[in-house]
This record gives sequence, C-alpha cells and structure tokens, in this order.
Amino acid sequence: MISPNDWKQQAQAQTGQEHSLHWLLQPAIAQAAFRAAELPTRKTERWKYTPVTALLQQDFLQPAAVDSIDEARARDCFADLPNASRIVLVNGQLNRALSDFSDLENQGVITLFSSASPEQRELINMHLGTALNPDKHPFAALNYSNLQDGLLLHAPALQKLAQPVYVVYLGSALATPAWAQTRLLVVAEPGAELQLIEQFDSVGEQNNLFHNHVTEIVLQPNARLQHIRLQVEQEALRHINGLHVKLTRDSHYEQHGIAFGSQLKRNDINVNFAGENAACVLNGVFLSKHRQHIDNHLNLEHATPLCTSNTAFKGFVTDESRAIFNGRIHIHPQAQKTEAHLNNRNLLLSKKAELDTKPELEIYADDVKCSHGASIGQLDEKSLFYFQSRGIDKASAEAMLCLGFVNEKVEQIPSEPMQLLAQHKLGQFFNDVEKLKTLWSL
Amino acid sequence: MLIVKDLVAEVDGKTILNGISLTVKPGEVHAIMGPNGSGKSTLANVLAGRDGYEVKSGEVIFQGHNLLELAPEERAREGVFLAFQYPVEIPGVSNMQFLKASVDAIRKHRKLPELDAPAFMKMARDKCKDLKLNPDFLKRGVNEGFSGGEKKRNEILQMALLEPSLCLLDETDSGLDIDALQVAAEGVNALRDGKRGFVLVTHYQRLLNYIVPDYVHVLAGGRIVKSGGRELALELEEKGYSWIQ
Repeated sequence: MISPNDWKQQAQAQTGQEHSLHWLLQPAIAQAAFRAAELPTRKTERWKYTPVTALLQQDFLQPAAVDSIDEARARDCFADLPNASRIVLVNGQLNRALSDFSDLENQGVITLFSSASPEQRELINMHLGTALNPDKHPFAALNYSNLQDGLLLHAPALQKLAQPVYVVYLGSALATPAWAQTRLLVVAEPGAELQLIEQFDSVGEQNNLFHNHVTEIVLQPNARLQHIRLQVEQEALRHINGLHVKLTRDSHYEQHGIAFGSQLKRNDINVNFAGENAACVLNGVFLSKHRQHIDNHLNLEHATPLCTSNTAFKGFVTDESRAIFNGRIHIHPQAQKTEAHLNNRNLLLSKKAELDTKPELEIYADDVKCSHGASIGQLDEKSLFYFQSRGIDKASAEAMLCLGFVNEKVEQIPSEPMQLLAQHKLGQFFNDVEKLKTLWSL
Repeated sequence: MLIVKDLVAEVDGKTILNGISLTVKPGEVHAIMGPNGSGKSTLANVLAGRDGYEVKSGEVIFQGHNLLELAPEERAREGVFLAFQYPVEIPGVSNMQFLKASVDAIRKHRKLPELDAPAFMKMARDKCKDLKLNPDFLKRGVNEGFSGGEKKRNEILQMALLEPSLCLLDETDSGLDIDALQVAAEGVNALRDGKRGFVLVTHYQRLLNYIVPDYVHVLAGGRIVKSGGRELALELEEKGYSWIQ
C-alpha cells in the first residue's frame, strides 16, 4: 500500500519519460493538468463514493510487458461479427494476430498514432483533447500524459461504414501488477455514419491489471454514431474509463452499454453539445455482485440550443456490492429549446448492498423541457406471485425477473451478435449459464 | 374436487371472507357473483395462495390435499389455475420464456417429459391461433403493452397450455368488448371436458351468456347468501343485488 501522494508522484515520474510521439501536442497539456491535480479522496465530490485505494494496494505503475496470451481463449471472448473490422489490444498493446482490420487500415480509416501520416497527425492534434477537460478528469490527464500510442478511427465524410468497427481490450493475468493505458480517438467527418463496438474483457482469473482508458469522440455536422459498450471483465481487474463526446450541429450519438462491477470500476461519460440540433441517447445497465464496486458518472453539457438527450440507466445491485449512479444534465443559458430526460431505475436485492443514485438537473435557460428521476426497488411482489401461480418456484421466478429487468436493456442493443454475447456474459454473471441459455434461446 | 368449508380470511386485519362454504365437483361450472367489495376476488386469490390474505379458520380441500398448506407454485402444479383480473406486465421476459418455464415446471411435477423448444413453440402457436392471437405476441414481453383483451386472452392461453383441473377466473370479462369476450369464452368452453372444474368470478351475467354455469352463488358481506341455478343470474341482472341483501 502506498500513499495517494506517493502514487501520484510516481505516476508523474512515469509520464515525464521521453515518448516516441514527439509530434503530439496533448501530452504537455495533460502533464500540466496531472501535475496540478490531486488524486481523488473522499472529500472530492465527484469521487465521494469511490475510494481509489484499490489502486494503491499494488504497484501498478508500470506498463504491462508484452504478454503471450492464450489465443484460443482470447477468441472465445469475441462476438460473432465475421465481417467487422476487429482491433484487439492485450494489456494495452495491439495484438496483430488476434486483430483483423487491414482493409480499414489501408483506407486510412483506422490508424495507430505511431504510424499516422502527416495529415493524420494533424487531424489527431486538431481533435485530441477537444472533448475533454483534463483539469476535471485526473485519470484522463494521466492517460494523455503518458501517450505511447493510440488508435484513431477516422470515418470519411458522407459515407456509411457497412460493417461495425469492433475494438476489444483484453486484460490477462500478469506476472506482476501493471497498468494498461489505452485511448481511442473517433473523428466522424460530416455526414459519416458508423457503428463502434467496444468490449472490455479479460482472460484468466486473478487479474492484476489497472486499465485506464479514454475514448474521445468528435462527431462533425450530421455524423451519426452508434456505440455499443460491453465492460465485462473479470472482477479483480481495476478499470477507470473516460468517455468524452463532442456533438456538433445535427449530429447523432447513441450508446448502449453493459457494465459489470469489479474491484474498482469507474465510468465517466461526458457529452458536450457544441452545435444545434444534435441528439444523444444513452442507454445502459450496470450490475454488481460479491464485493464489487461500480461508479457511473454521467455529465451532459447542453451548451447549444435545440438539442435533445435521452438517458436511461438501470442498476442491478446485490450481495455486498456497491454501485453509484450520478447523472447530471447541465443546461447553459443559451441552450434554449433543449429537451433532456434522464432516469435511473435500480434493483437493490441485498441488505448488505449499497446504491447511491443522484440525478441532477441544472437549468439556466427558460424555454426547455426536462425531466429526471431515480428509483430503487426490490422485485415486484405481484410479478413474483404471477410466476408462482403458474407453477414456477420462487427462486426461478426471482431469477427470471432479474433477467427480465436487465434484458429489457439487452433487447435494445442494435446488433444481434452483440445481444447474444451480452446474454452469454450475463449468463456467466448470474452464475447459471445452462439454465439461462435455455431461457434466452426461446 | 374442491371443498371449501367455513373459510374466514382477513386482509390487513379486516375480515373479508366470513365463513364461505362451497363444493365444486369435476366438470361443474360455478359462478360467483356479488357487488363490489363482497369478497369475490379475495376468494379466488386465497384459493391461489396470494400473500397478504390471512386465513383465520376453515379449510380448503383440493383433490385430497389441504390446499392452504401449499405454496402458490405447489397449488399450480397440483392443478389450480387463477386467471388474473389484472395480469402483470413483465418487460424483458418474453411470453414464450414465461410460458415454457411454466409448462416445464408443471410437466415435471406431473412426471411428464420436458417438451423440447420446437415442440413447445408449435403447441403455443397452435393455441394462439385458437384464441385469435397473433403468434408474434409470444415474442413480446409478458403482457407488455398488451391491450386489455390481449391480456385476458393470454390468461386463457396459459390455462390451455397448463391444463389445470380447477380454473379460477377472476373477472375475466372486465374490460372486454363483446368480440373479445366471445373469443375468451370460446377458449374457456373449449376446456370444458366434463372433468375440469371452473369457478367464475364476475359482476355481470353477460359472461354467463357465453359460459353457461351449473350453479350461481351470490356473495355478500363475505358469505354466500344465495345459491341457485343459471336462472339466478338472470334474476340478479333484472333486480340488482340489493334484492338479496
């Protein structure tokens, strides 16, 4: 166990090292932000419920060495998306053998920062960091301070990518604890349309990885992105994830997420409205069991008029786990005619589990339509009796109701292979795969 | 098949059933009528085993079992079926998953082999057709977004699939238009096989035009105040309930 201050000093020392991407502008900015930042404590409002002690227990402050991974087991994690471009990172490093994206790489749609052309370098510098404020996000600042490489997804103007882009981040059990810092920059040119799938997963038990990830998305006018996110890693893994989205005029962003708790899991989702008529849909479900922890912090900055956002998150919290939902809608004075709705419905199934939910509305414009709400409940007695009155025993009835609660979100995922994968993972989560399989298969 | 003897039951400390006795023999159809608050639905719910009803005295024997000692799911497996007045909506669980789980549980109890998915689906689709339900509705969430008529027909569909020996229908006619009522009644009549017993709880005699009862009982103040044949229902229709009370 080291002190937060020592941790920060050591992390900072790491970031000061020479890095190969000397052309990048972001690291200097992020380093300054990280130097000025403090590691969050209980007194930091945004981190009030999420102690970072799980990061201080072990020495994660070195990048994971390139590790051999059981390829067959890694492939078992993948969704059945035969035509998708698949990019696989193992402990933060691109694994070519498991990846398959040469078509889009040749077209310049997917590029590693380290092999970016001069034009792409310019593009990266133009957009990286524009959807994110490193002063408010110390772990994102740490991530960008230590930019060894990254992924660029550059969707060309007025084109619809026929196949999804599928990025898989895998963690494995390492010889010594380490961090993986990954980042994905998505720039969709005007009128571009695409589906992005991100899967955070792991192979092997007792994972000793700290994954610090940032996805930054910039949608140019009229661009449309469908984003599916699965965070289904093994529970020992620590994962801090920042998603920062910038929406310009008439753009459309839609997200469907499923996140399992782990020893430490933190999801920041930040949406910045930077043009009129943009729309955002955030759909998610988080689940925690055992002694897991999951913290969801959403922040929607409605800074421009005529935009809409619809946020609906569900939480499934049981055993001795702890989950947090904080959803904030901030409507700036000039953001007239905004329509923003947010709700969070939760199932809290154990006396020892804890859930903290806080929907927040901050409105500074006078002509807007907004709503927010949160509920915490148990399984509905009437529904249970309905099942029982049909001969289904109480335990199975409870399991089916839990599944139903979560499945309502799974059914909304706009990809059948991803629905299947999600159901498979949920089956594992509920520890009863065979039984669930027969249920799901109908 | 069903013998109810001096049944007294409370809800929240208030006596709702105040000494009900009723015997249903195989193949018989009994209609329970009565004004609002007379305890009709409570009787159906107590028989099905719903929580929140406290039986103070009396007994219920169903095919030799002391019904009141069984959990709701055990009653269902023994052959008691309650068609709900207000079927619950359960989004996220498809009607098919729900029906399969239910049929599996009941067949297992009856020591019948489990139906494989294709065989079950075919059976469910056929029954849907009989009840003029679009088979697509098997894929939808249980009762999710169903119209009143669809919900009630879904209850009859479940009844047809589970093949109970005693059917309790709690105001199956409420909220149905004439066409839907006819379809539901046909579904029920199709299940009348001379062995299966029925208890219909209803306000109105309208339903009894379609499902003709052998006996009519009038419930008031938690007890049966009058019993008779089908003509009693017609008399009630004409004179109202106050005539009896």
